[in-house]
Amino acid sequence: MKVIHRAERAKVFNEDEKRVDWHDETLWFVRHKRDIATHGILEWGQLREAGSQIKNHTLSNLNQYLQDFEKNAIANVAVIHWAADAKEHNDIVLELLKKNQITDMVKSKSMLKEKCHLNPFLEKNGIGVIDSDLGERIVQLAGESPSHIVLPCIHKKKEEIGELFHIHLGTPKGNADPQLLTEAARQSLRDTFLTRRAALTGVNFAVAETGEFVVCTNEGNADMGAHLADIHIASMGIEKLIPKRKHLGIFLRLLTRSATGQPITTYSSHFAKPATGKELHIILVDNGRTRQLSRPDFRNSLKCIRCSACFNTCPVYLRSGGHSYESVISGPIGSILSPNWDMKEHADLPFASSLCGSCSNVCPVKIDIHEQL
Amino acid sequence: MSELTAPAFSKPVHLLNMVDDIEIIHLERVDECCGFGGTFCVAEEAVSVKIRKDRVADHILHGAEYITDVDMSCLMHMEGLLHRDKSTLKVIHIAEILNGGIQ
Amino acid sequence: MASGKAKTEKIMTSREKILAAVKESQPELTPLPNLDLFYQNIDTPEQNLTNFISIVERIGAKVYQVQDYPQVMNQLKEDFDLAGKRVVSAVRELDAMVDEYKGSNNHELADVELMILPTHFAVAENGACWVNDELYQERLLPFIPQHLAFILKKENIVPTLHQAYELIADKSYGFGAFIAGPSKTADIEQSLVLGAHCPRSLRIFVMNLSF
Repeated sequence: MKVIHRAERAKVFNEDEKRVDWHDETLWFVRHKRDIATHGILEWGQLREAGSQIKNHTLSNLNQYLQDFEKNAIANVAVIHWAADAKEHNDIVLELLKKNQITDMVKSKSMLKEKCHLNPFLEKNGIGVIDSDLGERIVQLAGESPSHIVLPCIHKKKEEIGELFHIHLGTPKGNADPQLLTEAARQSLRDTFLTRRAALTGVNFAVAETGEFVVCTNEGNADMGAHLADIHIASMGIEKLIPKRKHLGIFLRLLTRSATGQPITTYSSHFAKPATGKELHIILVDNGRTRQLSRPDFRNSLKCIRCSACFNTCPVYLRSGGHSYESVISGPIGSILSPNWDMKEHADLPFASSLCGSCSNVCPVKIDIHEQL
Repeated sequence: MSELTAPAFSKPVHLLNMVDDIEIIHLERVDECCGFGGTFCVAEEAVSVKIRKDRVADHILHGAEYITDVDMSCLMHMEGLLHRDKSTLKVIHIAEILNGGIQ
Repeated sequence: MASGKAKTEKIMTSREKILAAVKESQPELTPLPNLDLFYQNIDTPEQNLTNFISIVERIGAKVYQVQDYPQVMNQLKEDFDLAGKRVVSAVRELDAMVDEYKGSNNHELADVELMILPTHFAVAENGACWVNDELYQERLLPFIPQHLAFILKKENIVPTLHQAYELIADKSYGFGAFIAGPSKTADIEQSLVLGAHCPRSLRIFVMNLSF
């Protein structure tokens, strides 16, 4: 019976109740920070409505906006690639690396690349990949996958990370001080940034009007990778578009307040043109998105800006951990996105909801998540 | 709905505030779900049980004597655990309170 | 006919396929919302400065209010032991006091201890400063040093991101960024650590030139 698989994994997670409580409280604290940040913006309700309407509008005119974006990006001397599915995406990346005789590259966070299983594909083809987001580096060293889209290693305790770093980065055994561990990762990854000739990043928003795209990080890892490398390859789902630059004002106000309760990420980097002597490639990826767009009841999920607010408020996610979903994007939004990618594989995910509706209420772009579930 | 920024208004709380001699306790998580909804408690038993346990613990932590709700199934869900733990905390439907059911 | 159709599909590029599928699937056109209400802001420059300082301090950076460039250098010398350390600046007025970066291989910047950079403007609601490659060609400058100092003119603080994007609405840049505070991470158990990959600290010198 396929239907009980997620539930079984959640049950295993619940065998260690102290850990469940810790997971629950750690993420509830993030929800709490989100509440403080959003309640501080008087026009929060109007911002959500505007974000929702802009996304609705974009999806209703996506054909045109994709062509506008392409035209403007090409005018910026960026190179545009189109990928119908994960395989084509991965092949494009590999070919670009091969053409430039690059065998090692650095990558910042991208759920899309995770979804395409890019890392194992590249490694199989002899390309070394290092994830530069601290959380992603940790799960990479552990041989795991991210359990949360914004906080990839939130399922891991610092003692476990300390042990991992002792083995891989030579930190003192038994030391689990987050400050010391972060410093060790900084030193090691700095060397990575300085030696990799290709950097891969995700995209948070892409602007049809200007052909530019925005990448948001707190660590600055996307910038360190992109500015030090010769080639920057950015992959984006076709739904990442917004019509105008000024709309970034709406979405950047919504995104990080919803995600972590910060007023904005440390770095909101706008990439328009390649730097002198360098290359900028943008891969526009479908991989199931046009199918989701064709389904009137589910196309709303394409409005998602990947803030993860619905994870941090979900009573089910908080008590079952991201890995129980066995999907790249877990949590409430993953439960409606993943069955689209593979209905059989993820048939049980929509059951992972008590239908309480909190996910819909925190959603910055007003996706009716619990109704879709 | 604590997620929204609109001024908080709860009809049940508004009604309960009109009843003499009861005190409304504020919980750590004012409106987190009890975990019973739909087929969820069957399909995802372990998580459902844990949500319920935490929900009841939040009431106990804040010194509640009664748990009330407009939804019978939520109340039954939590009552099951209270029974099992022989807790002195009781569940009561809001209609019973509004009808003067607390002696 | 079925085989004929398959044949047509085969010669379609992914670009054509995706654009056709999008056209086929996209819902009926809905309008863009009216955003006028977000531009109505009556905060005074003084309020903007006060809000900016309070947010900047909350996100782990520091604000100094100064009158001139020598004051900037004096403060930095007080804050850092710069003996034997590399200090680089893209502020013309500071060139006499520090190294100026003129290289073409940005890997040479790896050992910079302190970087001092001008900014275009800042945003009160989130403490971010806007910089782009009009100010300095080398995009890496604000990211690679151990410590970063920004120079911001006092009158260049806008209340929200909406006003910020009004200022750059028709600007053409190759790269631009909002930078809010020092590099940080909370990936390990949600413990906040400053100095993830980029600067460990950020100082913002708000300069009041209109005395």
